[in-house]
Amino acid sequence: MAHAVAEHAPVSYLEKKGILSWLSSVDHKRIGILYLITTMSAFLVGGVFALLMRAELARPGMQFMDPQTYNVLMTLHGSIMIFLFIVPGIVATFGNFVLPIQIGARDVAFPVLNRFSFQVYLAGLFIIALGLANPADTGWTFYPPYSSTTDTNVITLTLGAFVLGFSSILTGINFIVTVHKMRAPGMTWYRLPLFVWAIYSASLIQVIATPVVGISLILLVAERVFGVGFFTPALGGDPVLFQHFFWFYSHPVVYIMILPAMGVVSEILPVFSRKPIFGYKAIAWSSVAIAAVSFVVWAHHLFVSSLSTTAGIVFSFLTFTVAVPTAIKVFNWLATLYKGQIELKTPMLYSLAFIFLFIIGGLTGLPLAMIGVDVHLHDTYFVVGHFHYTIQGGTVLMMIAALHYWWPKITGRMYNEKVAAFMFWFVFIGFNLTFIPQFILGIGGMPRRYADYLPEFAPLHLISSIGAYTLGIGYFVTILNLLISLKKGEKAPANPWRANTLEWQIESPPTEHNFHEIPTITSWPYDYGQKEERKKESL
Amino acid sequence: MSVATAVKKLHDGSKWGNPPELVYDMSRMGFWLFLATELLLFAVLFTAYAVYYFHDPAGFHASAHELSVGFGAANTIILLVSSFTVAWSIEAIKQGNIRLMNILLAFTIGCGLVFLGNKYFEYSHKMHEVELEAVALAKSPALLKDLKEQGKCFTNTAGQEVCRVIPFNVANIGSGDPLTKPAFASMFFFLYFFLTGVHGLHIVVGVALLSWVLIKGLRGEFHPGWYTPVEVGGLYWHLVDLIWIYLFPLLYLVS
Repeated sequence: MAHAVAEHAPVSYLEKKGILSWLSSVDHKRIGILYLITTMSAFLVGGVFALLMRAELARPGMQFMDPQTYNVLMTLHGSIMIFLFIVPGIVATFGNFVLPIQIGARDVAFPVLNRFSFQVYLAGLFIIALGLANPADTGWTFYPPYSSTTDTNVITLTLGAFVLGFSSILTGINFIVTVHKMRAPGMTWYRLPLFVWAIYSASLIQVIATPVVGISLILLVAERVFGVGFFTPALGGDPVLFQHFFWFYSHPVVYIMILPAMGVVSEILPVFSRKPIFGYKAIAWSSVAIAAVSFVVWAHHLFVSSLSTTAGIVFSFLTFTVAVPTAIKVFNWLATLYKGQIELKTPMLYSLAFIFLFIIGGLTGLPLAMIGVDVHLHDTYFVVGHFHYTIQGGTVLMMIAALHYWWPKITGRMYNEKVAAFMFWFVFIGFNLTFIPQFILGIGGMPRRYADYLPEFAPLHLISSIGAYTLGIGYFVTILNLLISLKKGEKAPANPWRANTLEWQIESPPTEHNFHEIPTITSWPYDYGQKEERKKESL
Repeated sequence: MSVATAVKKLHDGSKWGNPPELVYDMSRMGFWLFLATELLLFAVLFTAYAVYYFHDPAGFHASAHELSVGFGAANTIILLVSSFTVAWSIEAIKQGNIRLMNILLAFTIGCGLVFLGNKYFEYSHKMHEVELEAVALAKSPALLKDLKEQGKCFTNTAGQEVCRVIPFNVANIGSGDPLTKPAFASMFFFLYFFLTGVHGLHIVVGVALLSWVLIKGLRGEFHPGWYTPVEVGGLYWHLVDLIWIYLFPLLYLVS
């Protein structure tokens, strides 16, 4: 194999120009970039919809839009963010770009299938766009019977989500087989970077959970087309059955979102605190444990939907158990930081913010897991706050962190550190300003999904809107800063962060075939600040 | 790139020319994972079947009575035989018997087509009126009311209230409010058409997949050192067969 490769001159994977050369490429790095462009575009569109909603919610009464427009914006914000941005988010972008290099492979197991996954993703995007003429107003959860009776384009949105799910299944299968079969010689399971463990666990969930929601959405489409009351009680159907099917996927899916983010944190923390990761095996297996537990907690979304008391107690208890592997990770990260030489570079700032915000997100999940308390908090802004603390404070922030961390490798350019670090504070402060008031609003009884509210909620809503716009500016300038670096940034060295994982041992940007010769692995990648490294530094 | 690597590239579509043994290994693993997703997809439908069966066992029994066990049994035998021939074709290529492999693949594809032909006759039969016990229609009160107004309900010689009804009424699709004009006579018939429809779609995909394998076989691309597509096509066909083994009793024998 090494012989065939040596015939290629070392050229960057970015060398070939033209849109066609990108769309026809089966190179995992190029496919990763394509996902990056599409998912980040979806993020900006979904973000603008959120800002429009916050503009309307800044004052009581209706100012800019009618309630129907608000419902549509809410649905599109949720659907675009979930199906087009955050689910493919870290898995399809950085999973594609980084995972094969980190295990010492030249590509994923099935490169053509990988390209096909992206084409299917584009098809899903196209189908969702088709429905924008009369966009759905059901919320991203498509609960029947409303989703069966509204005359908006529910069918295109659900079909789009189904097609995107197919793309996500294919990517998941590809990564699982890649990790099992394509590891370089000497790359044992316990020498894998923790990012790989995280993507592996997320892929397992993608493969197991996605078919369930896929066929359920098709059942919903059939219900509308054929007029069968499958989920509509007026015709003998059972709407709670849809909720069971929907959450059997849609609860595990939040772990598809958060596990890769946890993987990125586990990569960044040791590099920027110059210490070996603490509790490698505990972090690795807790990813798998979270993936396993994620399948038996779905009914905590149904505490107020005629769930029996026994089932409620069981699901409440199972939900609490998720806290265990999650807490294991947090304690190990904190132990990694302890007595480290902490460098507050942008990726590290985001990672520390992640730990802080994710603890809040995780702890506010516990009251929601208690049946009694959930009856009060269900469907209020408390849930919105909890969800955004885990998924935005968790996954989105780590997506930004990963962008900064791997940017020099992906593009071969260094970004402007000062601007990035300054904008971090916009993001961090803006984020807390947006969502802390939402916890208080929720406890006070403010229902979610409403376009208007009572005057007593006005001050907190105003603060939340101000926070949202601060956050919006933060994200926008952060991304702009990265884009400017493409032209103006300094050329990046191969290993600007002095990291040990394999992707930093090759050129920035990598060559088309990643490695000149497949490396043989002799140790794990986390020997930071050990005797060997100190010896090298003192020379 | 050497000729050998280029040939391997043709086989697995990989840029780096993974050795055929590795491609075989990876394809099998990837395909088993894919089959797992297929099982989960049908698991949802089986769960839904179970839920609605326990809502209304009498309705399910009455509706299932209208299905032809003969047709169902014939299709079961056809699929079982085809599963055997596809397994035999893999054994044939392992021993280098390309001609036998091609014949067996062609036979399997033929079985798939006969299955689909049977389904076509069954489906078109089900779109005509059948006598259905009113109990099976009770879950669609709007439909039952309509039928009574049209004078299509009466008491039969056994003393049961029955209605003449079209199990899958194409004319009702998209006309008026779909929720008051259902296309399916009962939940059972919706499940019947949905389950066998999704399964039939899998048969179509399976036939297409095996035809692609057969074309490659006729071109002489397979030999005992390279038959991954035959193996993968066979795995898919077994799955389609396996799912039918569950559909047959649930839909045809439940009466």
